[in-house]
Amino acid sequence: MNAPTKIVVIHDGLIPNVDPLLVALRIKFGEENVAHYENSDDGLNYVLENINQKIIVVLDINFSKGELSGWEVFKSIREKTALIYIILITADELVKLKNEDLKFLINHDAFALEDVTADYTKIVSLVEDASHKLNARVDSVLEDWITTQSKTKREKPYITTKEGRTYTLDDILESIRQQTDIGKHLERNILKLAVDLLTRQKTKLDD
Amino acid sequence: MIRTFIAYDDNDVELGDYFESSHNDIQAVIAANGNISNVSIQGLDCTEVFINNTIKPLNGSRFVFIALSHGNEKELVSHEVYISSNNSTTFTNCLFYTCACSTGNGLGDNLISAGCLTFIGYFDTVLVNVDYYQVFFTCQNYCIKSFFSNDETIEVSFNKMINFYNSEIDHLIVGTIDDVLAASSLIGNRDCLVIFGNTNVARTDFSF
Repeated sequence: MNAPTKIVVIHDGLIPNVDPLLVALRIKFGEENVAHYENSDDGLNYVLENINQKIIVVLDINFSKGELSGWEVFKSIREKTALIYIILITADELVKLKNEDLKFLINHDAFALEDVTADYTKIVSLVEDASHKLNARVDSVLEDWITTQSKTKREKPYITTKEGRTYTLDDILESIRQQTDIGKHLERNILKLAVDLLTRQKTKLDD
Repeated sequence: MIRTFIAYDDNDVELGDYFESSHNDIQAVIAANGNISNVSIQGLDCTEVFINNTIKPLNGSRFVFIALSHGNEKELVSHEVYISSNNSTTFTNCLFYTCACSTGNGLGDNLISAGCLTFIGYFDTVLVNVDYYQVFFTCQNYCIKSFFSNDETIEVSFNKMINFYNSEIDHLIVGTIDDVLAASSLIGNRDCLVIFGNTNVARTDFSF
């Protein structure tokens, strides 16, 4: 079974608890897995404190003065991780968005940009799509396995490099999530193994 | 008779046991072969001065040097750097074999430029899964053990090692997820193996 994905909605224009988007997301992903923040600073703090979990962020771009804008929240998350999927919602027409902001979104893997007036089911559908992609990623597959292991096993040395560094299973998951050098190396090895086995015909796609 | 030296860092906190077992694995093949002499250099003696003083009396004769320790692009390291560009000329006319990280991405070229005949190592981070020491060092030692045991070129021994990696990977992938993760580390190690220099040398080229 997949470890649950947290859906974090950072949006000050939704009615807490009863907004159709929030209701639909809670039905689809479970009450406990959907968090709504009207204040963008609070939403950002929640995301950064839970950076090692599987998270999808639904982020409004426009917030009240004195709060972080959606752009700033997006940039702050991207400074820490490229692995959280972010769906942005804007009330502005695309032509009114700054070129620099649009470039930043594209170059830093925004999952989607949607109109605030769009049918809320469109946004739910985008979240489902992001969730599927998240579950198919190497770190998610590993997390699903690691979470079933005992605490003792997760905390004991699991891999050592001949550069002199040792990693536990929890360290491995964190390094893949945060895309450190060793995280990328391990992720690449796992993908290589799959490709190698297929190319050497040791397994078939329907296995 | 073939002269060999095995430097192994049995003193290392993380992988001391691993390097020692790896040394014993190669030493067993050497001991069974009456035509190979070996000097084993333990961790505390893995210093630049000790290594230079041990090898220099050979006066340019051919020999095999095996280094089982940590390393990086520029050097091999025990409690201090013991092989680097500082002493690369010490390894003139040598078959150099190491399991250390990343030495194939710098140090190997440096040794070859300084007159080393053949270099075998890894150009990137080498991983060892903690509960799988034997599989990992058996793979890593396969080439040099085959070279000592057969009349074949080092290139043939090297390719046999790749095949051995593949067979071990194939055994592991039908096991538990721990086994599969070990297989993924082995595949990463296999794919960063490098051989530089003269690949046609055979053990007879090192006999005196």
